[in-house]
Amino acid sequence: MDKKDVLRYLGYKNQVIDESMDDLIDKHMKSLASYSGRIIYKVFDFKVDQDVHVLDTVLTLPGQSVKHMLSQANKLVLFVATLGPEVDQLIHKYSYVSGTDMLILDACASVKIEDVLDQMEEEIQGYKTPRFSPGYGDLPLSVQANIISVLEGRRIGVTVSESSLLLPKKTVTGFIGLSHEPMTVTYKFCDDCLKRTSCDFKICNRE
Amino acid sequence: MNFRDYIKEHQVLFDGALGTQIQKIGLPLGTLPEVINVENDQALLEIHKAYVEAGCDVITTNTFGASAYKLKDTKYDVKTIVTKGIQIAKAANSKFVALDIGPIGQMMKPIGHLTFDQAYDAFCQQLEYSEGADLVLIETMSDLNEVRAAILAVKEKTDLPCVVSMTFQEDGRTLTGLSPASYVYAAQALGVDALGVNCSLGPDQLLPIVEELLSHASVPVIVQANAGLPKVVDGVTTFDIIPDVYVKHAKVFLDKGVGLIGGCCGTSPDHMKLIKEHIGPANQIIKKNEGIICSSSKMVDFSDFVHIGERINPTGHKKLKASLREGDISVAIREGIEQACHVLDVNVGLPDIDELETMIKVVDELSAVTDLPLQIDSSKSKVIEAGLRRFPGVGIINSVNGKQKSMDRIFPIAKKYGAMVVCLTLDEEGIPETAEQRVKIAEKLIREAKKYDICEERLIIDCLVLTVSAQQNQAMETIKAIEIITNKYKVKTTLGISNVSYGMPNRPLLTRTFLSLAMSAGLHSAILDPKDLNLKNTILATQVLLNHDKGGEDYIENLHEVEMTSSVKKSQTITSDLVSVILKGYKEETLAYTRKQLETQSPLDVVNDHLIPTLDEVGLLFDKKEIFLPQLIRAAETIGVAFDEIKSNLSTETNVSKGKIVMATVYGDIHDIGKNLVKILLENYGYEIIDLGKDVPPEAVLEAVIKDDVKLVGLSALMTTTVESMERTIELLNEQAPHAKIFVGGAVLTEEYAKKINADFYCKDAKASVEVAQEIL
Repeated sequence: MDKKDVLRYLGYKNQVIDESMDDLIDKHMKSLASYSGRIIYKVFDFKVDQDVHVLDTVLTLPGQSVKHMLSQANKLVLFVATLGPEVDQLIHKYSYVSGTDMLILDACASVKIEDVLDQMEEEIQGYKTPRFSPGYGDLPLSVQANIISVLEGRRIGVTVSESSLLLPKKTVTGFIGLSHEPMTVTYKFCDDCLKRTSCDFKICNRE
Repeated sequence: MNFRDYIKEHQVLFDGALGTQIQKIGLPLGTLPEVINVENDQALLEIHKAYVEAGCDVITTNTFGASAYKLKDTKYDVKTIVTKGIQIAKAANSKFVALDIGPIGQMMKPIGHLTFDQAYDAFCQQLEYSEGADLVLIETMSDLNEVRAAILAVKEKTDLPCVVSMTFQEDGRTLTGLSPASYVYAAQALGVDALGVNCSLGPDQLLPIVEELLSHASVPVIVQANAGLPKVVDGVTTFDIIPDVYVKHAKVFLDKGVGLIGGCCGTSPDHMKLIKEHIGPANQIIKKNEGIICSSSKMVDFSDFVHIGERINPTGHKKLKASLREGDISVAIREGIEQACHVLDVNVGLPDIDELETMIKVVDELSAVTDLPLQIDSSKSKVIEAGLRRFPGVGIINSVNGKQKSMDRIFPIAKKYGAMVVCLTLDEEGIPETAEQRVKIAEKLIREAKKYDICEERLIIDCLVLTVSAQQNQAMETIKAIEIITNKYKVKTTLGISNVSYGMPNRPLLTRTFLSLAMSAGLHSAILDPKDLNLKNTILATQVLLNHDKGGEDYIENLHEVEMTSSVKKSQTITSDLVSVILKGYKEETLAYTRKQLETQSPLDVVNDHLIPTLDEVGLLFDKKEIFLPQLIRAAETIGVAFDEIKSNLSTETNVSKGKIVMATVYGDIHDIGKNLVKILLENYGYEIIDLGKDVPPEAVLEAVIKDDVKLVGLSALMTTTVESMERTIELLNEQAPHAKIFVGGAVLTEEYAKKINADFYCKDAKASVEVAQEIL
């Protein structure tokens, strides 16, 4: 886990960090070390008409963003990754005793789940598009339910609420386009975001 | 022969995977397999029949996902799927048909949305159509809360045998962190007929978990392993242990005493056929471990002295009392988190609150944020039952006494929930004066408990402490009674020790000396204040002297350093720079500073002349980006100790509050970090926050606004899907409480969007909400 990323989630802009605050951040980064996260990912074929259809499954990915992301890909990887309910509980516990700890641990957990996904990406062979998740661009959150049932997310304890929220909270679903040849497709996550003018964090922009 | 009798004598072969076989029919991935009960019943029947032909005694219905929550996206209802499922399974003509019940597919509160009652109702709905089944199999469960709701539904709505099976991960726990031992005791406490494991792992990885189950279980153990760990090949999940290998593992399980065996993902009729030859008479060595309580991860067996934390009790706890009266359980939960002990006593009894509802809320939250077993403490049997019903584990009842009426009410509850019980040695005549008379009452309690099949190991006798200031001769009677009882019976003992010193100087000294005497008489546990470190040291020392703590290891390692707090305070220099003190998070210095100001100024002046300007200055630093969010929050939390001190200096009528604000994370949303941060900041600016929590329906927000005539409401929503319910909340408020101004915030919100949904203010961060509050209130 990179401390720089944690600080970014905390809105850090080169302020002076005193020793005790620094220790606190280190402590929480360390406390997440024992949670390695759980992932399910699978490779699928897809076909494109008005929407993108993931073959032999019930899943359709609507919208222009998905089409753009997969424009040069010939397969896709669907994934779901979670840190599990115990991390939610730990953060919840701090909400009673210390908001400072709650805030820092929450940021650490957000970085941790991205780390878990980075590791997954390294395992996947071939040329890859950036990861893309429901909620980005015009891909609605409502597709999460089908992603979870296709991947049997229940096996790692992931559920979707009626309002399309993933539980446990530190859970991410999405897809990656795959090809045997290099792809040039990119996505400017921040440009496409409603909050591009008011966001202080810019945490979504990845290389 | 019925299933209950059958498993007492025979090992039983369940069927193998259903999902794996159904997949072969070629359903698109993501389809709920239960739809074939209607759409392809013939294919399902063939699968069942193949298992019967392989020699399986039990056929499991294809109803794993038949909860209303999972079926809502299909054309079918619970009745159709369950009725058809049983009908098709019966047509295969097996010895027994098991009605299969899987997880509901929603996470339970407080992490998820689903309440215990909703889960219970969903299970009841499936059980309503159980006719024709010979047993219920609750399987592939990860959450102890959910499993308990399912077991209670089976026990309360049917007479069918109840077999429960949970899913463990390679770390030896379920996905929610439940340990095998806790699982055994918690499931047995509710009276299951068999328990065990299935899915997720292959037989190799399951072996140590199964061994642990067998070492605790007093009911038959079931194992349904996957055919190995799942491997994804070309996008397809496969399991690769072939029948010839699988059977060898199965034989190991059967030899070790597993009574019920079958298969899970990746297994087939071929796997089961080979196991059939090894099925013989039941051979499990039944363990009789009584007198054990547990949470989902911790077990307490009373082999060491048990510290029961007494601080969740409004009697003599002003702050807790006040917060409970306002419907705020956070003080109670904080006490639960901060007590270093083995068991938490939970008492929320106040005459003017709904004790039952409060108990449920507190038990739910405590079990999410602490890992300690709970002792449910109330004078009302209904409250005790409600608390035990919700506690995921095996708890203690506090208490029953020798009065017939009390025993008639409490023992059935103890039986139903498998709880241990604190038994007070008093009866219709009051507290007897002699040790012998108290022993007599204890004996009466032991006899009466036996009538309910509650063995003496599950009783915790309290020989009662009277105050030495009033009845000095009684202290040693208590000690004598403990001695007699612990020598004669297998019961445990406990005492609420602090009573002894009431009305005397240096109470802690008397209390801990008395405890030491009681321990030497054989006392097993005490209800005490875990924050009293001198007392804890006395316990450590006594354990050495009693030769329980061998080599004094525990004593040497855990002796507490007791601070001389009063002398530290005197030597402390009072700083004048409160800003830098709170920025560093120094609570003691902040407190000292506040006390110093209170010597010369009124509490309200201290707030207005010192605390608020300090916070304003910190806020300015944040605006200028000289400090960042965690520093702002820590500063606000640190100055919180100053506000607490001010409040304790005010008479109850004087109000330091700058105004009330209702806050909520909107309906459907459970992301409340942002809301919590805003709350911390506003609270420490002196505003009174009515925090409705997360997932709050619009009507509940309105009700709170009207009830206290609140002028300002803060709403948060994180996701695009939940901003809609924010809009609905605003609409309702504008309609029915137009005087209330509304500020909103959250990850997907923008100034524009906030305007569009008619919010009065958009707050881009926590600090911005303070400015809104200052403007409106």
